[in-house]
Amino acid sequence: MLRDRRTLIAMVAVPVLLYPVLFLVFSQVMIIQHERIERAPSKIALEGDEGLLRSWLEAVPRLEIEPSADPEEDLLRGRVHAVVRMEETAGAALEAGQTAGVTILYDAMEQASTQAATRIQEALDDKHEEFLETRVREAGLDPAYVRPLDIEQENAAPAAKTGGAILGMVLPVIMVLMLGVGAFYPAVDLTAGEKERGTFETLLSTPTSKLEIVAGKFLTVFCISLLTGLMNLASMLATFWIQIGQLDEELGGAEIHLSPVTGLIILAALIPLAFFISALMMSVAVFARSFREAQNFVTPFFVLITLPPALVALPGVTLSPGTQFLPIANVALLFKTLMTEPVAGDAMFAVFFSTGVYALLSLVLAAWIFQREDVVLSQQRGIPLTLRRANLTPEPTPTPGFALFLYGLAVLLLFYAGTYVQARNVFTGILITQWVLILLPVAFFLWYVRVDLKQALLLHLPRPGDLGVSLLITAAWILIIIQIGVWHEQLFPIPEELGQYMRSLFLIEETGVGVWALLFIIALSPAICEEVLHRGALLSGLRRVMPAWTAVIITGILFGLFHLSIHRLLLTTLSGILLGYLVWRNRSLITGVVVHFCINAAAVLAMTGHLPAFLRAYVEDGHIEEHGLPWPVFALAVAVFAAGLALMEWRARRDAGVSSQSPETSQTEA
Amino acid sequence: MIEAHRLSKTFYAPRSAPIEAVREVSLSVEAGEILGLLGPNGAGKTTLLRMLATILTPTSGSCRVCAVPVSESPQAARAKIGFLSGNTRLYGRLTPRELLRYFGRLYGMDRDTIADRTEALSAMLGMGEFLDRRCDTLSTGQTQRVSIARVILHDPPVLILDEPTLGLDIMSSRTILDFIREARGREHAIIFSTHYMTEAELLCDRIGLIHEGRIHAMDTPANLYARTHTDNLQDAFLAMIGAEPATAEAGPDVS
Repeated sequence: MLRDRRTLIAMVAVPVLLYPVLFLVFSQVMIIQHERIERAPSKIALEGDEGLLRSWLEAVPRLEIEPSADPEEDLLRGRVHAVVRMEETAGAALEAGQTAGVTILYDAMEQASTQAATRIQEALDDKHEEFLETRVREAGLDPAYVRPLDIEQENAAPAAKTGGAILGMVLPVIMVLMLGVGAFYPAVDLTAGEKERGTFETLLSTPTSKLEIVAGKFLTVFCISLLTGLMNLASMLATFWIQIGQLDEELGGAEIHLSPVTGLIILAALIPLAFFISALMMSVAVFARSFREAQNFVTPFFVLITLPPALVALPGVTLSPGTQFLPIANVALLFKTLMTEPVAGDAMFAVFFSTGVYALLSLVLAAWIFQREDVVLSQQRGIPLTLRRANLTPEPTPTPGFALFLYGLAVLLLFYAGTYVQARNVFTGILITQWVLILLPVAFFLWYVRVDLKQALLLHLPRPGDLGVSLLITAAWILIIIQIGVWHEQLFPIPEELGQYMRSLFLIEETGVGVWALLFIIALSPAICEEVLHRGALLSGLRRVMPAWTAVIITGILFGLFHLSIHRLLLTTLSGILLGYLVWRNRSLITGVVVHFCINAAAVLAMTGHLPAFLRAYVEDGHIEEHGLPWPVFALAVAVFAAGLALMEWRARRDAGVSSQSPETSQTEA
Repeated sequence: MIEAHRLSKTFYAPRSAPIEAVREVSLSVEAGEILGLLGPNGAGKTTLLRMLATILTPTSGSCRVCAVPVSESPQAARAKIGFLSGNTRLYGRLTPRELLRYFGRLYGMDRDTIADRTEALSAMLGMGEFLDRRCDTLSTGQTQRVSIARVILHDPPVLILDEPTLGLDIMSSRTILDFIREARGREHAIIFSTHYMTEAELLCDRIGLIHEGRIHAMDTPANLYARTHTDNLQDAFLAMIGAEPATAEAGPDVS
């Protein structure tokens, strides 16, 4: 790609030259224009009591009085810039201590005329002050008496904020545009270009997998897009830094102060954004059969990606729970906000995580489209894609791409519908989220792509021994996680708002929801629905392409992220990994449901005070919240946990030994 | 070397009836043999060859290349195949040497092997003078030689060539035809499609007549003439596609 001139121009030449030149030209023109008007004298004509006016205005710098027979005519023809008119009787009126009317005629459409009017106004204001002071003094009054209010306007914004606000408006639009510009040529060349050259089938005939091909292509597009973005960012910031000093005096002060942390956040946010844009652009371009057709497909896409940052540049649009999940717009808002103020942890998390999910979804889409031979090798007009269920091949488990798609879909539903319904009513909201937004789509799509549900979701009963060991591990884990939670709280205190929300769930008296209902809503529903998605679809999909341990850990992390809060990320991830491990070793999703239920139920019972009496007294005095568990209890929990894991591993090894001797028995067992 | 058993391919497209591009085709090609597929445009030649080359997945049926089952281990099968299509061009921004290096890496060859092989192929195909010029500056004939070098770079025992002479001038076609003949001498199994009758007559040990996705006859040119009482392929072809497919299927060489 680097030998292609178009790529190089977009990636290097444009950013390096564009901003300095743009800025230089723009600022110089502005300064020159500004100075020209500042320096040029204003020609004015007088009307009425010319003698008195002349005596006032003659000495004012940059005001030139022109003789004129018809001042108004001269003003309209541009021979003078402004006309001052004062009645002949003005002198007498002033003498008598009365008011004399003065009119300034000017042409508001002419900058030079406005300038002249301002100069006259300033000179006459001074004269007015002079008269006022004399009269006040003659009347024997204090000058302060006639000036009850002394009003002044001052721009209190620090220079850095002004600079940041300017950059915050420009930066997001340009960044998104430039990531797109960078991705455009390689995305089109590596997809439609390959089709046009006929090299696609050559590539497909090499002993590489389609996934490798799409990964290679995607990484190329992504890298060039990101590099273009970085080059633009660097050039834009450098230009601002160097040039803004010049504007300083003219425009009343603007500076750029970017802390290294802000800089790093912006860089970090560019990565998922470039990822998202590149993958999306490739997915669009691959449908085209030729370079030209791809350009037609991709161009409207540019409008789509630059519109959100342009809209959020409007004043008053801020990063809020309503905007933090909007694709592209949220990153633009993050940039904009970061330029002037720090951003809260959870909002930042929401932006990064949602952008990551969009990136993931678009990459899955690209990979999926690439594996469709009807799209990649098609010479037909239009979009050659059929999605009829009857044409799909049945599969035992979902493909990893499809599993990730389901996860992304659930997260999107959670972002938009989930947060909305939960904000209206917490309990019905959670129920709707779990059953309608998570379980229903996952089950439907798994059915639609003809996956063997029983095998993909491991819908068999666990062996009693396995379940027993799992429950032992779970009991120990609940104690361990309480202790980790205490440590976590000490290091990163949970914001008061979130803590209050969590507690409000369990105030039985106020909400009127009984403990059984709470167990159903908060413990059983998530146990079933979240397990089907994570330990069901996701784990079985990922395990097709990676070792079980890796799949368990990735599933755990995705499960942690799924809870949409940076403060709960660690605890939910750890529990997620444990759940994945137990489901894998038990070869049953039922174990996952039971264990998930136990963990959530323990929280419900503890928070609502439904614990055995001896524990209750202990929990309720707040001792645990402050100091954690007594260390012998914690040590015992860790020991039981470790022993449980060892036992589970031993059982698994023993079974593996048995199954390698007689594969048939192990299959019936599984 | 190549064995196909009842291969079929149906294309599904939105808002139109499914297209059965290839129907129950069985064939086999031995080492040192050239099988020509002859048929009009849209007969299913390209689809059939793409299935053999593992680029398309068959709707039903199976095929094996060098005893490797294609559906089960497509990547292993691809390593045994050299695939060339008539409308394939090269990467214009690479030189032939870089192009061969790129494809060599995709075939899992190490750098030294690629370099040695490039020298050998360059000598064999006479590419020395343009080995380091960008591909978009090469003439058609030179491009064809680079394409051939790309196909046999990893020394595949099986060659699948889809209309390799399509749109070429006489000299460039000659390069390709000489190469095919020469590859037979080195015991490659070759299957290639064409709609030029003379080409097929000159080169092929056996010819498969394909029409509307079916093989109507597969035999040596001499036997085809004898069966249809004709003395050239064109007449033989017309006689065959007018005949009942059942007689063709009962032909001796359909395995």
